[in-house]
Amino acid sequence: MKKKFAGYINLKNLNGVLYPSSMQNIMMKDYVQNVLKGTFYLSPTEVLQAKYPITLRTLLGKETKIDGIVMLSSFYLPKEYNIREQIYSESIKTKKKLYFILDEMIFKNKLDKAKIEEFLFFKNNFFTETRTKLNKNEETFMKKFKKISFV
Amino acid sequence: MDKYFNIKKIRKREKIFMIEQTKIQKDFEKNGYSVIRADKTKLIRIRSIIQKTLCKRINFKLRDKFLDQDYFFNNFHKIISKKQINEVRFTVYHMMNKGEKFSQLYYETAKPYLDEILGNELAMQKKINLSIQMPNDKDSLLDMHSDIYAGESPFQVVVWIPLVNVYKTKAMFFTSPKVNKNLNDQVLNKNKLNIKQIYYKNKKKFWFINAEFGEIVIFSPLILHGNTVNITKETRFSLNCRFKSLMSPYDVTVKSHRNIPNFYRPLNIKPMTKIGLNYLKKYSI
Repeated sequence: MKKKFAGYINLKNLNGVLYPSSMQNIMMKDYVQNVLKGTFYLSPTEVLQAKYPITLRTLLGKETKIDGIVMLSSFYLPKEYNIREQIYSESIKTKKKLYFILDEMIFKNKLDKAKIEEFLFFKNNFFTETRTKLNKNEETFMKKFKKISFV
Repeated sequence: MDKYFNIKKIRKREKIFMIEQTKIQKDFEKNGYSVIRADKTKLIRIRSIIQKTLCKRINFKLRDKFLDQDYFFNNFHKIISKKQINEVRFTVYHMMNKGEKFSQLYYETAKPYLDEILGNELAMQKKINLSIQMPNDKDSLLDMHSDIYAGESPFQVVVWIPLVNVYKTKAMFFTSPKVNKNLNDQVLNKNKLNIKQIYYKNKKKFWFINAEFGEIVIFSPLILHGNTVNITKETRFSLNCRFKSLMSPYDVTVKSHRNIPNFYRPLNIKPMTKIGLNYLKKYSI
């Protein structure tokens, strides 16, 4: 019997890009059917206004009969480390793997945690914000290099 | 004499209209939803178009009891299997959302009431959705939710059209604005229970909407709603589509794609809106 996977839609920016729910749904369905060769169950959307990831926790709960959860990226995991820790533990406890399509990563057990956490370092604003100009300090700093420019 | 108005008659008619208007608005403000008797000829037309599409898709010839439309929709699970349901649903979905004829018909069934609740310059959801909930189907469930959780506008209403009589688990569940305030807080701010657990714990505070074919339900999707396994012996067919005042905000609290052109389309634009927007276009700073 084919395994059943749920999609997890999150409407927060993913490194500055907002993926509409319909697009996320198409990507996850394709991943479940063609990569995991499973059955696509459904894809609820995370509650945008909630303090905690209640939809993700509902999918991980024992009441939801699925084998794993697919999402676009690990960047959709909760921002706070201790809440993420709860998600990892729940995932191990309920034996529901977490699949991150764009990152090409899977959370199966404790060993995968470090890899994902390392990846999440790049969720920092420093890497994700769109830079349109230099700040004052950077401008001062760059004055000495003004001759080194191709544009 | 025809060109002279009978002012007394007009005032009387206006007074009656004002009383009705207030009742619809007050009911909606109090309960967050209204079950309204709509124009049945339009609803029969909607149902016939869908029935025709379904029969063509599954190559089914109407005969015996199935000639009766109520019987056909209520017993659809006797014609196809659960596995086929999503493909069939998509065929109808594409048919309904091709062109604007069907959506116009949809709008017309609710227009008098939307005028009361929203106004008459509207935006309409681009896609009308179809739900088919067969008896004991565990795969077509929609947990308790509020549409604003997925970034939809709090200014919108849902026009929900059952194509069959709905009752008990064949319908959707709903709660009162008072209970909603408390449960909404639990969903948004607590980290103890998940959505399913909150629903099961508070199950008694929800009820299933009762509506007959010929009635439509207009509700605010800010109020928690959803469905459970349909344990009746009949299949539910229902349509849903969202409407909002054209000039009310689309993205509220967060930037989402629930806006024009992604999720909504302008349904009608009144002259002063065109004139005003053109003024802004010319003199914007």
